[in-house]
Amino acid sequence: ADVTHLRVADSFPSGHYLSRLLLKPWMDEVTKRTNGAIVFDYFPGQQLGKAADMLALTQNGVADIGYVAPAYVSDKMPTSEVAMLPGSFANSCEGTRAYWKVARDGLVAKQDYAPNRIRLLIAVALPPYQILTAKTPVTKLEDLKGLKLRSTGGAQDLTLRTLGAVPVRMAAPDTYESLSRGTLDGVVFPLDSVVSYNVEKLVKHSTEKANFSSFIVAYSISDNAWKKLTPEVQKIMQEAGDATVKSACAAVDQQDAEIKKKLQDAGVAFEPLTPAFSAQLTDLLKNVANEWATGLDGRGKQGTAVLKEFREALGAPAN
Amino acid sequence: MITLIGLGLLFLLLALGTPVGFAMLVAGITGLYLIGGMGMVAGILQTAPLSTVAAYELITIPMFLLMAELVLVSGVADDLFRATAAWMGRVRGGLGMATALAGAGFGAICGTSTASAATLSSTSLPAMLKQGYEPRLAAGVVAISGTLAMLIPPSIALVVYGLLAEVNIGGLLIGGILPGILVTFTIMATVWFLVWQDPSRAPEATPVSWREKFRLLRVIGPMLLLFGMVTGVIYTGIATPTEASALGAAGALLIALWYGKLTPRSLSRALLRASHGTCMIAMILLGAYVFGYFFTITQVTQNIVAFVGGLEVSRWVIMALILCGYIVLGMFMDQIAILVLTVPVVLPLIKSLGFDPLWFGVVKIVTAEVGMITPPIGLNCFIVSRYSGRPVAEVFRGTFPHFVAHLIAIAILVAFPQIILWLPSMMHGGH
Amino acid sequence: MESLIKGLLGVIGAIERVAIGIAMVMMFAIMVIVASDVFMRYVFNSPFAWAYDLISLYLMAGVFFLAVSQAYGAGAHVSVDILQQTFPPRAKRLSECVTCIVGLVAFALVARFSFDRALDAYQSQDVIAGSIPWPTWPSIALVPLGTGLLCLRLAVTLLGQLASLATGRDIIPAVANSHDTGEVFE
Ligand code: NA
Ligand code: NA
Repeated sequence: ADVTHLRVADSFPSGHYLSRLLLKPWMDEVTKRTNGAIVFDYFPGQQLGKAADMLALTQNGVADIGYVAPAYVSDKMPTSEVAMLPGSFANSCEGTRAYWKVARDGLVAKQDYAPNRIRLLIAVALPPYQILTAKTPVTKLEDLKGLKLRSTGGAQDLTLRTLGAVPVRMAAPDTYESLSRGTLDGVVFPLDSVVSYNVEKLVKHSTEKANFSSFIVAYSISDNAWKKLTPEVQKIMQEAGDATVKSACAAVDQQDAEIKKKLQDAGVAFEPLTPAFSAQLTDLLKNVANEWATGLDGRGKQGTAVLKEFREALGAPAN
Repeated sequence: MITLIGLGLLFLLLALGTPVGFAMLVAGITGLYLIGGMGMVAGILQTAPLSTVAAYELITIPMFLLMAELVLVSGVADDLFRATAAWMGRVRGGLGMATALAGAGFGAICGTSTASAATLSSTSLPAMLKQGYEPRLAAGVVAISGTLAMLIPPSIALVVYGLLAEVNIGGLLIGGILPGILVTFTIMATVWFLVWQDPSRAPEATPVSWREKFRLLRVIGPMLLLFGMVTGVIYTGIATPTEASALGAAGALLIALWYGKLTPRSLSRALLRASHGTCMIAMILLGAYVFGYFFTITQVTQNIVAFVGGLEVSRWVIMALILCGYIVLGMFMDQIAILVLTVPVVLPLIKSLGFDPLWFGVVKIVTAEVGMITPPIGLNCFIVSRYSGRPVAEVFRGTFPHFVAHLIAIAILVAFPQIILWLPSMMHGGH
Repeated sequence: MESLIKGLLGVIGAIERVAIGIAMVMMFAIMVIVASDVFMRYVFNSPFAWAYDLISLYLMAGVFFLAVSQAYGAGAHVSVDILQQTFPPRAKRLSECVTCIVGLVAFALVARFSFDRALDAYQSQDVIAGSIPWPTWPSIALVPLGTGLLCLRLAVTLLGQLASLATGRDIIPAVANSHDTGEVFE
């Protein structure tokens, strides 16, 4: 029988939980349902290029399917950041469902995916980032004043500045040193990163059930590679995508809960926000989102419309 | 087949004297074209050149180079060998041992072994020859002592490994300190052995007065200051390794200013030389990335690694195989290129075998030191030959005893991983 | 012919000196910015928010691409010339011709494809997300700028080698003055 090989590339170290929970199940499912007619050659760990280059590599056919994380190509996929804005959702599945909707059929698909000649296959939103600090807990707005927190740039910078904190840009592996010496007071991390960068020994406090931003992990296929597939295969890929995305976000949320437990055992105190702080936060973060949207509007990218659509998708009932 | 064409083209170009980075770039482009046509070439070439260099963490390369150049401007490095020579002078083979110590000392402020070999060639080599040392012995000890710069922090090779392997760079750099001392003593012991075998290889030096000995010690001050500025800052965690490199360069600038050696002319010369060094390394990184993508797509490396990983033997046998592979590769390839080409595929195997990636990185760099002195491509030997006007073959013969001694040092580091891991584990609570 | 080639080399050399001069200033700027950033963070609790993007987007790219051509001319790109040194002069020139031709093809491709990307980024006014929306095109444009200049250098070197081979006179040196420590730059 005819076997089609598709090159899949990402930048996760091989065996990383995201490729295990998201990519692998999808690839296995597609290979199974096509009776082995589609075979994936998987190149993990930046073997075909760096995370920021995955879009171009996918567009040019170096990879057929690439880990195109919109945050790494914010210049080319600016509207996807809507799902990474702070304060918008409470867990991975909520965020994933909403992003999946706007990035498959909505304005984000139209603005971030179509013009870049790629098509979204699978995605998850990471569980909301928390602020984890080494010395003082963050339970009210004043606690954030002047706090040096590691930031990845983008809307996270804007968020931290709005909250009165000092965003410090640095590579994630450098956070350990910086935290241990007070170069940083804390980090804005998903809980999994706390463990993978070893900072669980250094942080003592974490916010609980807040959302200080998120991150979209997404694998996309180039239009070129897509067009070469038969309609049956395309259908299988889409159906496998729908199913995998649902199970993957649940697994990611499950893992988040487990890590939280582990961190608590390691002595990290999870402090819920005070109601007053929660209310302030909602207001301030809404402003961050609106500011982000008007910024995009000014560049003709329909930020306000995207934000509205995403919020509606978040509100829509789960099916 | 395509793999062989790519490799063949690479070695043909290298043999013709095409710069290493160019040769890998051209061979990589050709291979990519044969596999995936112009589209694939376009995909890689649109992205790889910029993302190879446009990364914040890579500022360590120009900054470490600039630091070493500014130290040379300040003139304190000139006295380094004279100081070690004065203190080692009365020992048989003392100048040879002093060269190893000066190599370690200069290595503590210089990040590349070639720059260090060049400096040692212009200071300690003439001194030994003038003393009547056997040229082969003198050239050999200079070539090997230069390699200490890539093991003792700061080290550009360790930084590149850390970036590729996503291993804590601060821990890696600190992990290089004790092995650096071990290798320094290995070199000194080798010199002692060679001179014990045949005393005529190293005539005795003239004694230096105590007064002079202590006068020469004053170079230690600024050197220690700089070493503390970089390695101390990293060890204590005051700044990240990336920031420490810029602090080191700024510190070296202040030292040059303090010694009154900083002029617009000397500054611009240091910047130019650091710029050339950066270009050379970045060009090799770029070529190696492009060639590496080609090689990855052919899946040759993954298959070799999968084969080795699947062998039904002890993990120590596999480690020995990997290290031998590195030593053989090191005979033919540039060390930075080897890191780019192999780390992404070898590292998962290393981790799955239960080895510590930090430990492996330092051991890998010690095997890289070997590569700098093995024929046919042993850069340090070329540099020593060029500076001294001695034939390359003679330099290679002179490094052979050090090659053997280095293998013993590697065996010790493999047998006692704590030599590498202990200091990093002492850094603020351990890793 | 000879004067034409020497004239071209002079012009390219002048452009290269300006370019690498800028690269050197950028390198110095990286040192100053990062060192002051650490200082600002410790003393005033306010690190430079712009430093990270400025350095990774523009300065590092400039340090390499603006210097790459001059570095080639100065023989700074390390090569394994152990075999080449044993060649007779004409073979040396021929091997240099090979380097120029393959290098020209490779870097012309790099320049072309990155030019497309820079143009695309310019036309769509791409900016990175962040507190300062830095445009991406100047960073990408450094690639075709630097490698384009290198292409010119390689083309003229090739011409010089061919002319030297044809006339039997040393119009340009057989091998770029490799590992020369005596380069002068004012
Ligand atoms: Na060093
Ligand atoms: Na070698």
